[in-house]
Amino acid sequence: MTIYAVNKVCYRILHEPSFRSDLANDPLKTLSTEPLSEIERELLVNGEVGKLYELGAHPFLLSHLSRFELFGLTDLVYSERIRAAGSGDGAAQLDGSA
Amino acid sequence: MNIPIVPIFINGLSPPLPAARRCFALGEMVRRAIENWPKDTRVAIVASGSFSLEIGGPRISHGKRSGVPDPDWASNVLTRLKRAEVNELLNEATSDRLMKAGNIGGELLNWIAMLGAIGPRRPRFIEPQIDHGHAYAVWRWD
Repeated sequence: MTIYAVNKVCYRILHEPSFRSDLANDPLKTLSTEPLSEIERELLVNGEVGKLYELGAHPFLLSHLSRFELFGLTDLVYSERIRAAGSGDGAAQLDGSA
Repeated sequence: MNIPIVPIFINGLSPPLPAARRCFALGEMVRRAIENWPKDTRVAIVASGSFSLEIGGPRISHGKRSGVPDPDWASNVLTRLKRAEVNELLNEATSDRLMKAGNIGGELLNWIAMLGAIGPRRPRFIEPQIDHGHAYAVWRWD
């Protein structure tokens, strides 16, 4: 499990229009070449943002998925799934002050 | 128009966040650097950030990609700014408190650094936007 790869996919969705377009047209094929685990790939394709958040994906990056309505995610669906996840302190837990 | 800009980035998003007093001290240092600049020139310090905001996380509003999870904290920050109660704000703005205000709550550190540069002054103008978890404000002195 390398949740970094999920974060990277989300980052590229914002910054690479061609990648975004490929994902919209054929998500399975496009994600097949990404270094994701099987479960990460499945969760992404199914728009399971709540579970990805619980696995440590950054919510800031995940929100790009509904911004571009990928994987069946509208803002409404995204909000319902993410609100049902976690207790509300964000994926990155506090580590104290630097 | 050709205006030199010096960007300063403070991590307000990913813990561990810098301590509020450390950010305030950074602002004080910026002020000293400006005051010691050999040329007589006008300088604007611009800071941006929310007091309470969640983007993409579990505390967003239903049907939205963001939300304001802690408007009471945002109101408290606004009051502190209005009254120039900087020391009180520094005591209250722990990392834990900032993150309770949302996963973007640490952006208050940008304001705090700016307060370090401004000193204990009341704003000339402050426009609250508590529904959005932030405000617009201006300080000015000669």
